Amino acid sequence: MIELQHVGVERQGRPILVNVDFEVDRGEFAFLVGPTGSGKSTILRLMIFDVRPTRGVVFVGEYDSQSIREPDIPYLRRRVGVVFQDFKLLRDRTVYENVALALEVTGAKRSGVKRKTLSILSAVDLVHKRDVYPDTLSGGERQRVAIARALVNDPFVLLADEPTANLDPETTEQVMKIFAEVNARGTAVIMATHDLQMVERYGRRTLRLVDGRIREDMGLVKTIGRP
Amino acid sequence: MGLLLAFREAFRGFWRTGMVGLISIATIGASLLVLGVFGQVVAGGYALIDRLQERVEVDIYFRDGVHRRRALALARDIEALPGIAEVNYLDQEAAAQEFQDMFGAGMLNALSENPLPVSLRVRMKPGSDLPQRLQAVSNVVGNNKDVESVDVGETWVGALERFVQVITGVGLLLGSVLCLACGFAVSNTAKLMVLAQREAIEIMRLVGATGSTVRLTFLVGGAMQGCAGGFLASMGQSYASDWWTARVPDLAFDPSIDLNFWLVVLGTVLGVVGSWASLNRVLSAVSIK
Repeated sequence: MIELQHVGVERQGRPILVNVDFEVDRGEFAFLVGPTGSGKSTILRLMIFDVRPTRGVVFVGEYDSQSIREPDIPYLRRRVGVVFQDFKLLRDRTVYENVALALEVTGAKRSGVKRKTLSILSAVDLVHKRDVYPDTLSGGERQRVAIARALVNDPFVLLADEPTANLDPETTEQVMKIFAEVNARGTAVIMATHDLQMVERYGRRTLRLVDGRIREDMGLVKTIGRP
Repeated sequence: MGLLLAFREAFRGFWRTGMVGLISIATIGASLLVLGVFGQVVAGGYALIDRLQERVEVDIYFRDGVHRRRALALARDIEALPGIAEVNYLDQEAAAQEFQDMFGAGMLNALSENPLPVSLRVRMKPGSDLPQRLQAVSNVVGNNKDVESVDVGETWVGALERFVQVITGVGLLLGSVLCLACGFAVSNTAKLMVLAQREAIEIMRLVGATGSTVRLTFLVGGAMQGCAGGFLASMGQSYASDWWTARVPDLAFDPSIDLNFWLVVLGTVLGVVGSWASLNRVLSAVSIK
């Protein structure tokens, strides 16, 4: 479903990723761990074709980085949900509008937009806050809005770039619970984080990235606190 | 849904640009107003020239004793030329009557006989090729041995023609400069709109908005600004037209052109073109981070 084959990325002559190889199957949950600047975000951006590899090939669904045409990228992104550490919510739009935007840009009908948006807001327990603006929400609530937006188009994979970095432990638990539920419904989840304690606690497949290389690809190592 | 979304996002973008957006509309409005007023002056000038050209006459005076049949034959030859409104034959009596109507009977009565020659009076249709048509009449007349002299208003017609050419040239030049100014104003505002909407564009792309959806937003924004500027210009132009007509009715603007409508159309088109010109460059600088 998602595969990186001998992927290298350079920026201004400096290597960001070096010969990265891994594969994530449908319905899998994988942590991508590594220190800040190790290339975790670059790997996630490769998966939405916001960055192109200097070497190697990235396969996502039926697309690959060598043959995908620029006009096809938006259609891929509609099937890949992305969540960021800084939420990336529009401050001048309500919770409902932020989530609905992901459907509206696809040309969905208004009735469908309303039904699906309210449904996903209900799933993340934010339907009662649909008319408020992001600035009035807590960090956890904002991240749940961002997750709702990422999931509203029923993606086959959810990419999360340090989604709990700004959250307290209790809120982190809530977010991880949502990811576990999403994953249980068959959506693959790839979560980049530098929080090794959390990774150990949830015990899922872990890809460890050091200096732009995958150093370890560990399968399920623990089951304690598994989401 | 796409167009609805584009309008909504365009409104948001315009709201975010704030005063800059309003200044842009004012700039477009002012440029189009100058263009519109100048366009009406040119149109009025052409209308005046048409009216003056309708008065252009060629008087052909025959030698004494010319036979009526030969004069009328020449009249038919001239009538056959293109762009001739009418040819009137004036015998000596008609010429005398006309003279008396203009200057009184005293002078003619003092003479023992009527000295006025038989003549043809040729009236031309208005049109830009008037000098060429006058030349054609001269050519036909010049070969006729019965003709004593010809009075053609060539000098002022030629001057008029040159004046029209100058007005048209200045109009085209000024129009081009003003159109460029409008396009420049809109393209700058479009750039600011893109920068103000940078975050929204980034997120729209992240969730799968196509390039055309994003572009449509800004093209609609440009069209809205241009349309608003055109509307302002048309209001100003209407006021200027009424003011001018009330003071100089002889040089009233040509009512056959619905300039107000065309100013709005031109503003809208310039808005779209100006946005398009700046979009490719600015959008490529916005990426997901």
